[in-house]
Amino acid sequence: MPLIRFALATGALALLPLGGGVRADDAAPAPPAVEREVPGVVARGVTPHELPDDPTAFTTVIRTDAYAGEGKTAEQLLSEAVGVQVRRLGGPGQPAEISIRGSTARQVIVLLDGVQLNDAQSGTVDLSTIPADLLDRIEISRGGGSLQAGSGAIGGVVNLVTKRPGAEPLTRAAVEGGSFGTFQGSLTHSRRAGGVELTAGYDGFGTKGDYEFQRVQERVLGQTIAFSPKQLERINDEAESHASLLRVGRELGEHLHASFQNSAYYDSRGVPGLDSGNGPTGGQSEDAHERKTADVAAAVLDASDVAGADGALRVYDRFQRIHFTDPSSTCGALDSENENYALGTRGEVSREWQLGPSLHRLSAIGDVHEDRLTSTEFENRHRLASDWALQDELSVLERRVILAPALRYDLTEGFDGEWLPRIGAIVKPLPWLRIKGNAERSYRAPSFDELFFPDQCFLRGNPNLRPERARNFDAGVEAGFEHVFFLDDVRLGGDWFRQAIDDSIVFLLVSPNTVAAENTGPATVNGFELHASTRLLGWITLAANSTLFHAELDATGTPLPGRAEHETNVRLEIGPPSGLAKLVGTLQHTGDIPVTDTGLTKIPARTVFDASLTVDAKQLPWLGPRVPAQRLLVSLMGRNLTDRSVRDALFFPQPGRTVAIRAEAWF
Amino acid sequence: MRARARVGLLAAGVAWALGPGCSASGSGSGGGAPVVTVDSPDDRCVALPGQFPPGLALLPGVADRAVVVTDTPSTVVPFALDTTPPHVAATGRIPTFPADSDGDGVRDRFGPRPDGVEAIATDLALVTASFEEEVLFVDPASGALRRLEVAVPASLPPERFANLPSPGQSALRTAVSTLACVEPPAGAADSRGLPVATRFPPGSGCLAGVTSYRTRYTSGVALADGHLFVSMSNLGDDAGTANPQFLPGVVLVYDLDLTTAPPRATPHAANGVIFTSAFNPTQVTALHSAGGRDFVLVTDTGALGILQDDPSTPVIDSGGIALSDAAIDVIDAATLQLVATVPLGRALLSFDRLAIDPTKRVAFTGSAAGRNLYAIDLEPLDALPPLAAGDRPYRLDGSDARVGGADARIFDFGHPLPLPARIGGADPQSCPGFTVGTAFDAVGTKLFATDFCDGTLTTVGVDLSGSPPSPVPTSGRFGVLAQSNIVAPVGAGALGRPRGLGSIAVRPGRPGVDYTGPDVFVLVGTPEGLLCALRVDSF
Repeated sequence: MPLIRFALATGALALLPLGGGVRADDAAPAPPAVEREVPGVVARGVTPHELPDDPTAFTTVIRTDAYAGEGKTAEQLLSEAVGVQVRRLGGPGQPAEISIRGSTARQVIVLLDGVQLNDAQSGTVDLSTIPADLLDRIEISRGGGSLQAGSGAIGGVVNLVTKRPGAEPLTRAAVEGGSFGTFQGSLTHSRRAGGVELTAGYDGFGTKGDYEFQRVQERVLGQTIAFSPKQLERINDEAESHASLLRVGRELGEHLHASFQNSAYYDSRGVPGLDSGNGPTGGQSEDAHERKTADVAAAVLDASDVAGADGALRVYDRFQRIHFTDPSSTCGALDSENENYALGTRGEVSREWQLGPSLHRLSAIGDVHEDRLTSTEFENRHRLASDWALQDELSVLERRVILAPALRYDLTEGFDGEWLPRIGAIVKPLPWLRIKGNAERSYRAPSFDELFFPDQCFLRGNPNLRPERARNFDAGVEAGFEHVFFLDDVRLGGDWFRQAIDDSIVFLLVSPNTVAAENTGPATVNGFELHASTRLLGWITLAANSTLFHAELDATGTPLPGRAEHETNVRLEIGPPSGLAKLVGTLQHTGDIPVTDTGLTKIPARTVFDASLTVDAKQLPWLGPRVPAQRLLVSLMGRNLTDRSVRDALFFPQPGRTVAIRAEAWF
Repeated sequence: MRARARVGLLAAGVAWALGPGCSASGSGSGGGAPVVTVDSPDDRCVALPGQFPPGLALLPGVADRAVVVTDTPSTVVPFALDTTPPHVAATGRIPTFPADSDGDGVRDRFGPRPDGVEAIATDLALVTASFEEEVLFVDPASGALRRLEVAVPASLPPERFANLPSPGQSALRTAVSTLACVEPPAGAADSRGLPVATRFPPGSGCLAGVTSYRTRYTSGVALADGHLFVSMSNLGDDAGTANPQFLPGVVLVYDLDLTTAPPRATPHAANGVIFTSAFNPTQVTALHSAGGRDFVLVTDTGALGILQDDPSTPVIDSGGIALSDAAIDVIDAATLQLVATVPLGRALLSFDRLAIDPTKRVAFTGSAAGRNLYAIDLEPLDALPPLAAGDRPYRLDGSDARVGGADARIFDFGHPLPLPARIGGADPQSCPGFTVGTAFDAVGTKLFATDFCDGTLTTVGVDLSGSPPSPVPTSGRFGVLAQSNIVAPVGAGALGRPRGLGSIAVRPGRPGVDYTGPDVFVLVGTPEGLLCALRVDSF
């Protein structure tokens, strides 16, 4: 049950002229961190899981290079994006899950270069295991995304795009050390040579995670009641992870391009659990542990301008093994191993036609994949899913009016087929003004956990679950100005969204000793996103966004727990255009987070400040000539500077103030 | 290339040296504590710390005072019951249990997990707590722990109570340990039928040379005839499964002298450990009988598992399942013998205290696996002859010739008093009923019962007039009078509303005569823990 966090978007995007043929787009402001896509930026093969040129979705693209030196993790980058909240269940290396526009984590599909990372067992993705240093960019599509990604994309879709070679060979090395014995390092290399593209990279992370934290106090009965002891140390919080990336591509003549890529992950971490008990550890688990290995591989054949059409064919697989042990669980010793495996193929083709005054781009997609679960605690499970989609992007008046009707048919084994219609529209009445909107059906087939979790230790699945079905609507307006008095590159936007979800699936108490997955009836999320960005004096970039929504259960009008209904992000960046130095300050205000389904137990609102100072030693006159690198970024970073107690979930404490030092060299 | 390597090494060195070194002094501990607000969703109720408050007890001799024990965080909250909702009676800050909960100078190893509360005097309430395994002494006026003198007889083996003073010693403590090393009777078996000696062969337990184990899961406490009786469930391996192991249940006996200052608690030297006749003793209820004898009634629920879903059917099964027979054991508080047992079959009795009518004729309890009431006749207890040492307890089911075939069963598993299900209530497959709390009104003509699954309060008429024969005939003497929906039934439709009705207490006296205001008080488990005041005109 995710929270929602809304983000700050900065980006060169703000510099783009709105009237100049922006197609895939969005409403996220702020240079230079977040950019808006223009045709061709979503390169062939980069986002093959998307319908090509879906122009109407509210999207944000975060380029990791824009944050060079800031040492931000993927989850931090996401948490600063508009419409997104990240719910962290601990400090660095501990699970973190995403919410978009008030969704649950299961209602967001996360792709890695177009391959879905959500496994069929949990339906979620742990963002903490994704190393930002191996990513080129993060593409976020807010709102219903079932046309793009099928089952699960009720809240939105995130596509993580790994690093790609540029025109010149590039090697990057980064090392970082910080509070609580936390280290991170990465090494990547990319190049094009002899028609071959190569990207290889490694990222390692480790932390002792032994931070002290303040325990929750309850304001109840007219007074404040505290746990004893009031302060504890997070125990069993060590984490270690390693990730690798290998991508090889080659042009095959004028019209074809083939590539293969593999991403491998290993994570090992303690599972400290809740701090909700008494005694010297506050109920934290001293010896629960999780070890995960995962691999994502894909082979892609892209075709361009073959008989006037573009297309791609992809074969992919995803493997994940999680070994969990808890010798002293209240349910007895636990020792489980779950293997999730997915194998699929996907084809897509698109072609443009001019029909009278209108330009049409017709796209078709077909995808077939199978998920398998082999488990020591489950009965082995598998299911086949297939989908077919057709979209027409119709543009008239020199693309000032775009209509994109689409239809998708999804069939997940064990459930009825789902027809998923969608229509989106963009109207640009003036070069600097854009209005857009979408209406869509989306759905989510229950995960294996929700369906089949074995009846043990007070928790079980429910094989009678119905899929979640939703109707998504959004509309937004966006304006951009080169100058407004002394402000440059001014960008303003506002979006409205509504998600009406039938048959929400929630794990809840169904008997004195059983928590089970149940369809709990309709729920609705209504909200707004506001975002703005600007530059002034050439040295200062300011960006802000705010999201407000109300997520409620229709039957009672009570809020959906686990989501802050308000979050505001502000980012201030000061530094010369040369990149010699960069001082960045960010503010994130998160509203109250209801933790119960009545909404009457609430984690208090908080405001957290982060700051970083980055210097490019290569540009220092007295040192630069002696630095044998293109860039040498040395950064000092402080997070949660005012040392606030931060919790996204009631009994999962996060660290207070932390500091870190980072060095990053580009060769 | 070497220069690049130097740069890399230099950068790594800088990060390595400055990162942890500098950051150690710069990192914080989260500043001030996050203060979570908890409010009540119902005007009749007051929100409590944490969910599922484990216990509610009225203060003896005081008309409108009660204490509620909470779990996360662990507190004892004094309440005044004269308003709707009830309000806190303490004037100062309500304390949580300290890190050294028994006051022995050593920090707790696990910390206490409150299981229930019983107020035995206006100035002393007792909280049973698992994990740390102890009974805490609490001042019911403030909720603070108070010190009693805890002494250990010199005759006890030192292994008996590892967390108490050495035999022959005493100390001021805020709790008395219930972590006792006990030696089960020869041939004793666990709830799976396996000899305890197999699980704990001589030499492997806590007592040298014999089969022994440590008592766990402190559940109920009662004061009778100057003795403190503490039930120990002794749940063993595989908790939370379809077939957990229960070791033979135990009632520990302490002498409690309330006349000294401070009061003095002492494990009973001779008969300090009483093994129950059935598994999982979860509660003890004191009875000063109509005949003037002091008994302790022990609720043995029987071994309890979690009903496993049958995946071959489309129906989702869940709830508790009885793995062995239940019984109510009778301990003679004067002789400290288990003198009788009333077998009740696979009733899976509720974990709450028994409800005893004011005339001390009948005792009722609910069921953890259904919407049923069970009852025993207390009249035969007064007629129990002394039990010779070594004799097995009398069996009050009509089969024991030693007591003339006395039968104390009024409602048992084969013949329960069923309570009606709520229309539109909990899914009967998932939550077939859990009759948690039972309590009599002031004159004994109405019995109230709460149902966790349906969130209902059922009123049962009780007619004990005219000296009914023993056992009390069920026909015409007991009948459902009314049922009220107090909170939502558990299940999918309850999201966003209070649910999980729990323990109940009826305010002493006659509503409208002796007092105005609410007369029945119930605990609610989730999403917020609540204490709710109801006016049902219990008289």
